Amino acid sequence: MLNLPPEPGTTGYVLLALGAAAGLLLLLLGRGRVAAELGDDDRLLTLLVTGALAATVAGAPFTLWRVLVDIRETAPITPEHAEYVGAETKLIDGELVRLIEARIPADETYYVRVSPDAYSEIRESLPRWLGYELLPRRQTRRAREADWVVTWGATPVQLGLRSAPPRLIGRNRLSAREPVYLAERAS
Amino acid sequence: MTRDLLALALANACVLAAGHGVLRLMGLRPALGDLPWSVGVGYIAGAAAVGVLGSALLTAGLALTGWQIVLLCAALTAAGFARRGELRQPTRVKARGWIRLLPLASAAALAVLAVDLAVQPIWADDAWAIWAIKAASIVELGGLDPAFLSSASVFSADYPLVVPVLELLALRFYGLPNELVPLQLGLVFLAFPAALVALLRDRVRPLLLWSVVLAVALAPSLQIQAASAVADVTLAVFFALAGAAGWRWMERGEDELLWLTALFAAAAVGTKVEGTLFACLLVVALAAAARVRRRLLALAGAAALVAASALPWELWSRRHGLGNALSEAGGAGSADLLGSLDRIPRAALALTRELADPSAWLALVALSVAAIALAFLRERRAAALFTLFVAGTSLAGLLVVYWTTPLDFDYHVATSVRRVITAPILFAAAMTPLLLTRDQQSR
Repeated sequence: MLNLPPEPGTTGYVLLALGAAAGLLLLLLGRGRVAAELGDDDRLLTLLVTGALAATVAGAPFTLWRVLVDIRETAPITPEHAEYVGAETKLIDGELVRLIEARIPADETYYVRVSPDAYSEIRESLPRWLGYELLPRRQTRRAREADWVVTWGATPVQLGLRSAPPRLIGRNRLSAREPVYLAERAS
Repeated sequence: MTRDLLALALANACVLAAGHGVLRLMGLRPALGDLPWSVGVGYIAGAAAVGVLGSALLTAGLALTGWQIVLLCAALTAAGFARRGELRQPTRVKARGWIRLLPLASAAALAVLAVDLAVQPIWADDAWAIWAIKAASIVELGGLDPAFLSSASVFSADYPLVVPVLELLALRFYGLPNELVPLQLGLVFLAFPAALVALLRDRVRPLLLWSVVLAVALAPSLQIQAASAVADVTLAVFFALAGAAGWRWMERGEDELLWLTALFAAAAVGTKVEGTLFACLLVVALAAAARVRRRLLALAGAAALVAASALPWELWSRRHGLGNALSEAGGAGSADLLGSLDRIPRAALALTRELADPSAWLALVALSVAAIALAFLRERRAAALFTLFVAGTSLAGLLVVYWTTPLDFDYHVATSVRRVITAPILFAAAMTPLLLTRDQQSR
């Protein structure tokens, strides 16, 4: 869930306490009904089923509250924004990727390299996010096979890549404002 | 949004109709008012059949357009209704008294989750990097494109196609590229409790059944994973239902339950790579329990069908040299296995820690473990051994994967262990009501 509360907070702790109280009551007072329903004189079975129900009831208010908080926080996301929320969870500015997408023709290929100084989330995720977002453009495994070079956090030359003069696409608003460049392959 | 939700309802009505066709082909004719069978098993059977056959059609060169999906569903429906011979209508059983609170509470929890799925974007990295990218590429490129799938764009390109096919339902029938994909994929989980009730209700007490269903509906890890639009919950649903249907076949000997087992096992194999391991272990356990020659032959036939269902994608992905994260890192076993022996206890500890986490599973895992122990104590050894073997060896298989991984061990464990244990857990949970029921006792 995109916006699951990271900590219970006051409401969460109150719900956990209420749930625990309800579960305890069920454990203490509900065994007779459970035994009657099971129609079985197996005390261990009765205790097990009552205990499982009590534990589930204890966790239910907090669990459902977290889902409701997620709904409240996630529902306002617009469909357009929803398309690149996945990038933002990895500190990648999705709007920069949109700008790159607008400049690379759909039938051409690209290579991507990230500066070693960039955050590890970006280093690990950027090639994958571009693979998804820049569809149907194909990502190559080697720079020399690509029509275009995308570099994140440094110019192609600084990352040891040969290319035509790069264009600064923008700066990543979600981390250290590192620059993002796009360049055509060196002719 | 309203228009998209209507399109979702229409597309999934086709899947449901296909599921009923498949059930009739197997010899089952659930009444429409019998919701656990008609909606629960019916929908998941439809999703499994459309997923497996859709994967094969993609490898044959089709693009699975909206009309092709509708025609596939119509063909399955028509095949079922053209079947001659006697069809069995499952027995209906209703909960009474205060027990009715449990289905109501379960339905309420699932309804809240459904709303959450409807507002959820695709955000988890595995969801877009492995699954949605394949579905989106099929739409953008007019079918499976080997050049794109073997390019650096795609992560773990050789993973099977059932999840992308189910996501295609969303992409082909709705508006924006990834809107409603999490809800579409989550429908299989939302239908799971009803399907489990359908399969077990004539065998176990309603209280036992609905206690497990409520624990499943409220398990935080299942809710979170369903909303993440990753494949693990889908795999878990297919595997758990295959296990429960397989055991019911052992008990009752009704062939339709075996075909249902085969269908769900084929869908599990077509969902994730570990689905193949889990399905093999399930077949081994059923074979060990079957003993009678006629049943062993029937089981062998069902297993052959499951294997055949996996062939089209297996052949296609090999022909085009598709790989995955493990193969690209050198393949399992490229690590120094003797020098990596310390990984086994570390991975076992990580698995145990996740299994024992009540904030992830509430009572679900504890209940399943206690049910296995109680079944041994109360002389219900066959069901206990079956559950313990399948769940235990599935977890052991995961342990071997972590031992032999060519990836960074800590990274591999940290990013996957919470998800990959889901299928064995849901299988054990599905078996729990049976484990708690005396052999001669029916409801």
